[in-house]
Amino acid sequence: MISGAWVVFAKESIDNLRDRRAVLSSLIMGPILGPAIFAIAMTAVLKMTAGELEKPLELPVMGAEHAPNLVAWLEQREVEILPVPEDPEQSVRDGDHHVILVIPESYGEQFRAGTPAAVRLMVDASNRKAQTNIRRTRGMLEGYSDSIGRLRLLARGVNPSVSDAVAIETDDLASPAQRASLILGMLPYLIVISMMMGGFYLAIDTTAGERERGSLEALLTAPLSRGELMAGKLAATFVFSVLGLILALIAFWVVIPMVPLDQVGMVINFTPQMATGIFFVNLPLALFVAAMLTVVAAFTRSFKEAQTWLSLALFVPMIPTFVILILPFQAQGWMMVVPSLSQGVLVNEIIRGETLDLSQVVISWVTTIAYGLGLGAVAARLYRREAVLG
Amino acid sequence: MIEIENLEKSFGAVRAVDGVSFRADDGRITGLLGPNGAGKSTTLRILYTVLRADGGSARVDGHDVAEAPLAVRRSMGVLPHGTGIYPRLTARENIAYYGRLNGLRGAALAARVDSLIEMLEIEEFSERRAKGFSQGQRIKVALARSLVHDPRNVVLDEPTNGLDVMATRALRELIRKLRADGRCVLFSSHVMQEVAALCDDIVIIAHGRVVARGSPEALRAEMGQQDLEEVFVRAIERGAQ
Repeated sequence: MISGAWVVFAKESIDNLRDRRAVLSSLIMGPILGPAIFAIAMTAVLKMTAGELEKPLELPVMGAEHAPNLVAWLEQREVEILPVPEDPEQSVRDGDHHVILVIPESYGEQFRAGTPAAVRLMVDASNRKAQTNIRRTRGMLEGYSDSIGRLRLLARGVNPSVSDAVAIETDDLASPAQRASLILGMLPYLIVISMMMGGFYLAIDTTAGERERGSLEALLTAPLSRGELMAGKLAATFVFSVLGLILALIAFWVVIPMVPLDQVGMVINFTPQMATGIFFVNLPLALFVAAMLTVVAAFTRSFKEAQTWLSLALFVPMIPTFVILILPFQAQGWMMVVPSLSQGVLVNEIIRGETLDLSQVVISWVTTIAYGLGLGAVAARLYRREAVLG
Repeated sequence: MIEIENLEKSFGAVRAVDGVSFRADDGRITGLLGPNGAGKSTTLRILYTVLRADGGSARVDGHDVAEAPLAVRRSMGVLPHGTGIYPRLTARENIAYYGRLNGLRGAALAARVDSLIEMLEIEEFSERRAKGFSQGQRIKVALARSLVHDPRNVVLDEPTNGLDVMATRALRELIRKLRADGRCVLFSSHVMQEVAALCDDIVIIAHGRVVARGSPEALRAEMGQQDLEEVFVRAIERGAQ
């Protein structure tokens, strides 16, 4: 029984390794390109935020002559006051300037009358790069408004603090590592993709591909049971899913230290121990993913059809990782019986440097393996149908 | 030896095989002849255990196809209708894969594959990957693959489809060689001349039923026709009535 499955496994593995397109997509695109893009995107985001904070704020001011005190106050705070460009609105739209301050003529009059003196900010709210400078400009103007307001209260003999009904203080309890994990919440998602991509082509090639080539009928006349046949094919897909996982973890281990997380006060140690932990947590998911892909592919009649359906099936295990990304919640017992969700939660805990609850790991392992084997049995059953010959 | 008794198989409302009975003896070539859609492939598929019969039985060397499918597959070499081989494996690897599936290992496997490569004249392309093989080359590899476990019974479903004259001749030679080894050879075709040139026994199938059976000579006598093609047409017409 085992030896028949082993022969099938060995053949499918060699066959797949000789398929350049399959190797490219399963072992390069998924596991290596994913982390690479992740690192580049992260670096870009971090550089952007860190860079904007360091640079002095450049602020074109229209009608600076109407509020000399305000302008002087801004200059004291190292704001570089610039002349207004020819077409201010267009320059904001084009992103040449992130924010332009407009001081209307009425400013002085309103200011002296003690009514709120209106100023205007020209911004493009859809420009992501501009957000930091918009926030800084707004913050400075609010600071100015606040300090003048206090002076006015003092002049009227009122304690300025009566206007502070609520004093808000924020204690940021997230350790730097935890803050980093917010961004690294992408990790479970990328890990699932790498496993899926690893097994993607093999799942198709061993089922729909075999049928399309016309080699399935002869294979079914070989003296081994459909269960053995499926076990061998599934094992090959599983191994390539695991290879995808391993390569992705190695890629992350190489790439994460290159991301300048320290620039924004984050610390992340992606140690080999963590990678090993993530590997073991995800091992059953590789089986589940391989079995799921195989079942879907076994239903289809051609390579093309299988590709279409599998591309849709790719999203299923990604859904829980999306949920974690968007709604970061605490690990709860019930989550451990949901494949992909349990691994996502556990991976997140590993990244945050928390100790894993062993019982949760065991539940995650046992349930995911059970689903994986269940799906494997479904695949074998599909092969027992006569319709498999199509 | 292959024995088929009263075999029945329907796909939905279509009765593809409707009470087919015949036997194919060792050391003889038996031709299963019939027009397209007559039920030849379905009969053979039940015989090589990828389809299940609705009724009747089939035995290969005494093993029942429904009760002992693995024993049936071990005692039978099959060249199915589509001769798909693996394009990324070499001819030798394609053959060796089936050797391993049949339990051959090591030196015994290598020796067996070598002898098949020699017998089927595959030497020239044995180390090349199968992608781009001609139909004739593919059939040779598929045939070698089906013979790798030295089966007593050989089933070929329309083996000459898509072969040129030279390849067809080579295949005929080979089928005769299999008979000379004392094997039971059963093959299907819709070409009368081909069956006539090769077979010791002919089973003519139409509409899922056996309409005539016997040696070429016996069939000629039975139909009162010298021309075998005429025999074929008469038999089919008789079956339709």
